[in-house]
Amino acid sequence: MLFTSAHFLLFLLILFALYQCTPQKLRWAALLLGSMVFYAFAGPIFLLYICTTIIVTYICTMGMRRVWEKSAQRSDFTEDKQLRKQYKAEAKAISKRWLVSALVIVLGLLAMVKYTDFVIGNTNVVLGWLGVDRSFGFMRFALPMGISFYTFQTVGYLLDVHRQKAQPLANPLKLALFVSFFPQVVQGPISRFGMLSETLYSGESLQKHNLSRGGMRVLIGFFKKLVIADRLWPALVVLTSYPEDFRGAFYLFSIFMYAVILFMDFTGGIDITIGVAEMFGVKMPENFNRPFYSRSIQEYWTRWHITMYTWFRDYLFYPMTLSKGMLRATKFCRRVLGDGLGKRIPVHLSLLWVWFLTGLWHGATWNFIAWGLANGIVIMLAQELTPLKNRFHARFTTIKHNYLFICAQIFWTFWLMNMIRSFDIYAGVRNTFGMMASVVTDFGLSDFLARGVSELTLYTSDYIAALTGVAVILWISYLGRDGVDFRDKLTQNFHWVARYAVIGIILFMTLVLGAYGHGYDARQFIYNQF
Amino acid sequence: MRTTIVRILIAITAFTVVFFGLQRLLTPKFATPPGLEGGMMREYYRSNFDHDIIFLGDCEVYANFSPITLWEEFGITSFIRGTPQQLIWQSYYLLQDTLRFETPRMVVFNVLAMQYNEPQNEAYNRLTLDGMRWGMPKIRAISASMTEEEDWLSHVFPFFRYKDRWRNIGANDFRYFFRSPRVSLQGFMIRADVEPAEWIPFPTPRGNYQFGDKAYYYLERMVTLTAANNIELVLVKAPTLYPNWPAQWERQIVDFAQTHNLLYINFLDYIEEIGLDFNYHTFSAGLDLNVFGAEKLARFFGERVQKYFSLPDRRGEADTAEHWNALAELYHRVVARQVAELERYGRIQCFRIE
Repeated sequence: MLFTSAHFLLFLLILFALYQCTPQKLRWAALLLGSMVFYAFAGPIFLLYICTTIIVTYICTMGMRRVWEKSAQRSDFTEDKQLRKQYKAEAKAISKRWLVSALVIVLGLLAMVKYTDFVIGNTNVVLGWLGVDRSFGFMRFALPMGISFYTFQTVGYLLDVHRQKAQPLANPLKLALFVSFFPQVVQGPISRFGMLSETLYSGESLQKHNLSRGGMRVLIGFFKKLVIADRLWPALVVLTSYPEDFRGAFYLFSIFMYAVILFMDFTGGIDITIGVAEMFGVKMPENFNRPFYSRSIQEYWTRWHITMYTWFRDYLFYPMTLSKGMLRATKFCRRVLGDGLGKRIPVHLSLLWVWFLTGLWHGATWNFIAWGLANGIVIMLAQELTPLKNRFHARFTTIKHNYLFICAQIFWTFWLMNMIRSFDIYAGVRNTFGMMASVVTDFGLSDFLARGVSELTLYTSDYIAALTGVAVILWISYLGRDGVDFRDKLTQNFHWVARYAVIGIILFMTLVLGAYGHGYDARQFIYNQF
Repeated sequence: MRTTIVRILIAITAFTVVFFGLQRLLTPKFATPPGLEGGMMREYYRSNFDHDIIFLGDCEVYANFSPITLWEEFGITSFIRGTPQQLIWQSYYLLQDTLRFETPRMVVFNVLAMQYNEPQNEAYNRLTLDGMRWGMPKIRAISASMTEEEDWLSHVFPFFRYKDRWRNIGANDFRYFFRSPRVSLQGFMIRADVEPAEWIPFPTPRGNYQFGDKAYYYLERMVTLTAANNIELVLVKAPTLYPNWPAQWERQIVDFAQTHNLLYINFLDYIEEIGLDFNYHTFSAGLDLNVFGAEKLARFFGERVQKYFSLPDRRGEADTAEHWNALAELYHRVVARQVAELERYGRIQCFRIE
């Protein structure tokens, strides 16, 4: 069931009624029922996967809970610190076994459906290289909706329980709701148990305040997705399906267009997710913070897909960097390479490994792996160049605040990310590098100016509609420039008539200019495929 | 609280006004070809609902029978409820719809629609269904006609079907915002131009010439409904050169008519008798008759009707005569205007009736 379908709106209305009619204590159960129905629409068979994840997670977290409780009870009966430490170490070891068992199954499911064919394909290629006349058939598993997202959210929960940062849920159905909560299951954000559980089970009544604020956010999400992303999408398909015809300047145009489409698609989906949750009184983490205003790639990744970035940082990068093995490696490198580089090399290796996995998480293709590694390499280079940058700023102290310099940094970061992102849209790593190189070897500005956008299946009116949409989003972004929610600005600074008029205009622009209904292929969100 | 409710009510009212205003603006006005036929269906509801004959069918009826000739020469009042590729179940539900307003003495159904057993084309569906007034017949007609690409929402709110017309909005959309132009006269599309039938497309052979179950089912229902309302049902096949009317289809209709004791007239058998010359009497190379051909066909048909059913000549009824004479005057004015335009510009400039 697409967020941007009439079915979803009808589903929401029914769920609102059901939720409101349910006693407060059981409202979370209404949300669970809604989530399961929503998930079943993607394919009832997929319920098997998500239910397996839920059951395994429940059993293992209960195992961990028993272990920690037992350890605490034993510690209560002794004053001996050494013995207490020993009990804790024993408990940690057993808890780790539960954790590993859960991770093997939960991540194994993800690996099975998402990466089996990738491994088979590459194995066949290697066998071919080796001259072995044998190849394996593909398994072609159907990818359950949002499996990457709910798996990571579950893994985060498992790790939090193992680290005793979260109390495991004793009610398996509540755990099921945490894993499958329908607004976030399509494309995230990847919520932390600690934050989400604060409001997820509260069963707050539907309130005018939440409904209007959430509704406004949902409307903005629909606007971004339908008026801009889906309207421009056919042009991007043409640009990337025939790369040999659209090289050089067209390549720059393509990656610029992809940046706009991906941003509108992804943030639009997240707006709908957060807005819908807000209508039920559930608070979800923000996933974006005006990323295209970033002045460096490091800053960009603290503003774009924030929950994924912080997940990898907190659950993978930090533990890996601080692991015993890595500390030993650091020691070794410092001895061999000296204090400076020796200290940084293990960090860089961790960084590359994490970005490799980030790429792999996005998709089982070499393109995504290349995308991840490219991010890692650029961040690594940026870190290596930090001393140089510091010296530059020490020499030119005021330039940091110079408007033109800031614009140049934003411009540079934006285009650098666009280039890296081109791995998403072209088939094959070599092909992508070829397109990048075409900017130098075959720019073809006159060809670009002569052909323009006439071959991209869209009418001029489509571009006008999309540009109008972008202007509206820029205005909304401007309203929220000081970190203030644009809805608060709208409420505080506008007379109610003007406020309603703004909402009405956005609503009717979505209804009229939106790419939906007859003549359009309803398109799932881009991040849903990850 | 009270302020909030007032604000919400104002917002809802404003939304409703803007939504329906936009819907009206974006919905096609069918003021110029192609698609002129889309405006014909709604014109029935502007009539006086007093008709002796109701014609039902596809393009083979709305351009081929001149209701004014039937009036002027036989005193018969009639209305054509026909649209392009009008499917038989649409004709059936249009008959049901007609019975909400009047009970004609006779229903004439053109049998070419028997060839279709399944919904065909969304665009043609729209030409028929959008103009129907809401009621159970329309709901059933939509339900029976929807193709896979259609949905209820866009039938209930055509806004969702025509929203993309924002890029084609023109002067006519504003000019006819409050009232759509009249494009037919008693459902008859007046065309005085000529495009001779220089050749006839070779008929495409079919694997199966048997009419479908669904088509027969609705034809049977049409027989039952007309009988229940004491209406004479006449089956006709219009005298157009194509689409091809195979002998196998003819046999099935003849059998059906005999079984149900219905009058069936295949005008293809009487082309010479009618006096049709497809060098002069068609505006679409043999696909439809022009107004002069339609007058000839109406004359021939009127004689047959008088012969078999003796419908009353109503030219003596003062109110009826006043109404129909005004229509006839308008009709002749439009024909004269089209002829003048053809002489002056070589083509018809204005297809509207008023």
